[in-house]
Amino acid sequence: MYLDATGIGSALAALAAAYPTTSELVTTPHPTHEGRTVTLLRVGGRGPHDADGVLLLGGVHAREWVPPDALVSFAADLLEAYATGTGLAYGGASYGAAQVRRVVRTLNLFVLACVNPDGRAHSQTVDPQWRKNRRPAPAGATDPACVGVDLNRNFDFLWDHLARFAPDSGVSASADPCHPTLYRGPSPASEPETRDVVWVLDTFPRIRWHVDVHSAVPVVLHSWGSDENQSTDPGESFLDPGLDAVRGRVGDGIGEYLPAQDAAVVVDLAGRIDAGVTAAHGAVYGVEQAMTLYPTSGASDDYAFSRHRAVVGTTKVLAWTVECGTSFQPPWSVAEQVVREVSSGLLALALAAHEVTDGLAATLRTPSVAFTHVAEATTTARAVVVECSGDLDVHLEVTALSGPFGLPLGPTTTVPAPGRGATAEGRVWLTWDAGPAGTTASGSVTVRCVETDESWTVPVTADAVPRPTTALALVLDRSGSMAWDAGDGRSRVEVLREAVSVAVELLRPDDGVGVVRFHHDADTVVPVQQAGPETFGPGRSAALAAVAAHVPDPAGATSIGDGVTTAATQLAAAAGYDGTAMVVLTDGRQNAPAWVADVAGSIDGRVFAVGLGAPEAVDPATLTALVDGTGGWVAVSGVLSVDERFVLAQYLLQVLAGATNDQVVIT
Amino acid sequence: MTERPTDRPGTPDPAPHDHLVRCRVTGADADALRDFVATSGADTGCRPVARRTPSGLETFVVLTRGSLAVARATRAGRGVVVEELEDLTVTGPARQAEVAPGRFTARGDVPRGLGRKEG
Repeated sequence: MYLDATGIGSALAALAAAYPTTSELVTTPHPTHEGRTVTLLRVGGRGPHDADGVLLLGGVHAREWVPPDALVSFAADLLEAYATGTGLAYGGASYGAAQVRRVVRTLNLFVLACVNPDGRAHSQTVDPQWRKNRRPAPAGATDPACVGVDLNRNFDFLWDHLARFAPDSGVSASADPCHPTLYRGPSPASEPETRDVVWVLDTFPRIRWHVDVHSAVPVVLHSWGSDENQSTDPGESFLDPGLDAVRGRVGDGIGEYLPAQDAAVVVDLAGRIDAGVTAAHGAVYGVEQAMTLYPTSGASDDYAFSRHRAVVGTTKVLAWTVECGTSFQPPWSVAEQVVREVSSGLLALALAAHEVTDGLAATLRTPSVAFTHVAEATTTARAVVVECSGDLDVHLEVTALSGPFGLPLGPTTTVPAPGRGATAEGRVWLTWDAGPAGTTASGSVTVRCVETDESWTVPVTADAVPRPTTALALVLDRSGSMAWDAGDGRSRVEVLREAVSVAVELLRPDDGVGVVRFHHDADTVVPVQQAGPETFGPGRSAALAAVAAHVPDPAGATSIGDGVTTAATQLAAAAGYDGTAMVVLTDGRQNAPAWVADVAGSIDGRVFAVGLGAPEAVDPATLTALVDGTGGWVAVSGVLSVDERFVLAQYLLQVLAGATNDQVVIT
Repeated sequence: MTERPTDRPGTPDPAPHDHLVRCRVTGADADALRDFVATSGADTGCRPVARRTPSGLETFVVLTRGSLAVARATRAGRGVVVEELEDLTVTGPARQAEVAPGRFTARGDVPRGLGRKEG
């Protein structure tokens, strides 16, 4: 049985009462002409301003009875399925519990199920074919057709069709208060129902998508409805009154501006709706632009989408009209099928909205985390890495953590939006305080991407090994290119100094440290000597002083091989350490002998490299050759980010713990 | 367009001319459909749109059966195929009997959607 206007409001209120943590009843501020209130149900597990929103309208046209029932059913389905942890199925379309969770957790659905309750009441009790609202007829008018306004011609988008469209455009609207279906109203947004919709868009500025569900064709319509689309001239638009005399003509070469990217998105998402519909019971709605035969003025979808161009700072709202089913009032047994296919289409849209609009995606890159062979009594870090893409900032949050692991940066990591088509790695850092050698630990961490609601549970293992004493030779590039940009305006030598300071901090008192520098030649600045106490240790202080004085030679060429040979000689002479290691800090741009290839005999598993500069500036082939053909080098650029500092420390701690360059773990 | 049925009692006409009917109009192209809509003055529903079909374009209109007969006889009417889908004047009152008044007003009466909850 169809719901009546009262039942729709009651149903939404009952849902809000039954599911208080995932829904909210909002009363709109403009009572209808007959004193009814339009009820808005917000469905979403976050606050009203904490997630992007989808505005769903139904019942704008009174005689179209199915859409309000469909929206009530859809809201009820989502709320019940989420509460009970189930998925949803509509005919042959099936959506898993995780997909239901994703919608409820990542979006707010603003459900205005029956925009025009007065009209619905009239249609269901008096005149089944009534379309408009129930604005009283003008004084003196007695024709029943003089009652009401077509709400979908009343929005403030090219509302004055007589002035804003070509006289021969055939624009679908009427200024005649007694037009039985198309009266636009006395002024833009004159109607309380229209103002309620505007109020929702104003009050919830995170609404980014809008579907006005109508019936019946069936078809999915996308922007624009006012003219043919064009993507080349932003100035050719509804904002230009100079086009009023020609607007809306078919085939005249003048169209409404729809940027190519927006066009691609609205068509793609319209296709998702259509595919969702079809998956339910096989109906094919198809996708069309809302202007095919004649233009339309004052429609809700065009109004919603136009706002961001009409008022600077207003959210862009992508909009569609879904004309569902094949009858305004099918028998309820048939309407039920339409309700299911509409629900499936809307769920498909909700699931794809962020992905298609923003290019949002998140992919786990570290299926496991291993604190392998950590030196005893050392605190070290590893990261869960998630590759993110798209136009939105992504938030990674730790929802569960077991085992003796820490979260040095807290449970939430923000990954700045890398942009459409680009990727960025988000790192959720874990620390482990290694106990005595032989200690092991295990546990897991669950990381959730807030924007996609994907969760990954990653196993974490750890083991501690004896910490050897290490004689460390720092081999510093001072060729002319070290004065060049490191990627953010800082010079590469500045990055080198910061990276070396990280290394010196990590030395134990009984480790050794020496400094070699090179351009087209190499020399020893600090012979290997014991680092000494953490503060003012003599070796440590000498190394820091050498680094502070390290400046590029503008005329200096680059002979990495000379630096390696000199450092190898230094390390060979270092006595009293369990092992040695060499860390070369360079951009890898060698241009003078000895080349790295010339000193292959001095390169073994304990030679390491730190690449300085933006990724495109360093020479990965040379850096790989330096580390004996392994991937055991790291790159840093500009001011060290938290991630880069953690990666560098993680890397150097493994160097000092005796790992070889094919063993180091770099996250 | 919105008048109530006014069939005269005793009129045996099985297809009263003042009944509103919903029709599918199929044409080779948009111009053919525009010609028909303009000539007939038909109510094009929410939006004056057409959708593609394998044989051309189709749109859906509402008009009285009398108007439909007149429109079919015009040049524009001969350029399209018009198929009557539903007599709204007949089905409307029948559907009004399928409206449940005042549901979900009792405390604790919570609507359930038509989707299957599974998995």
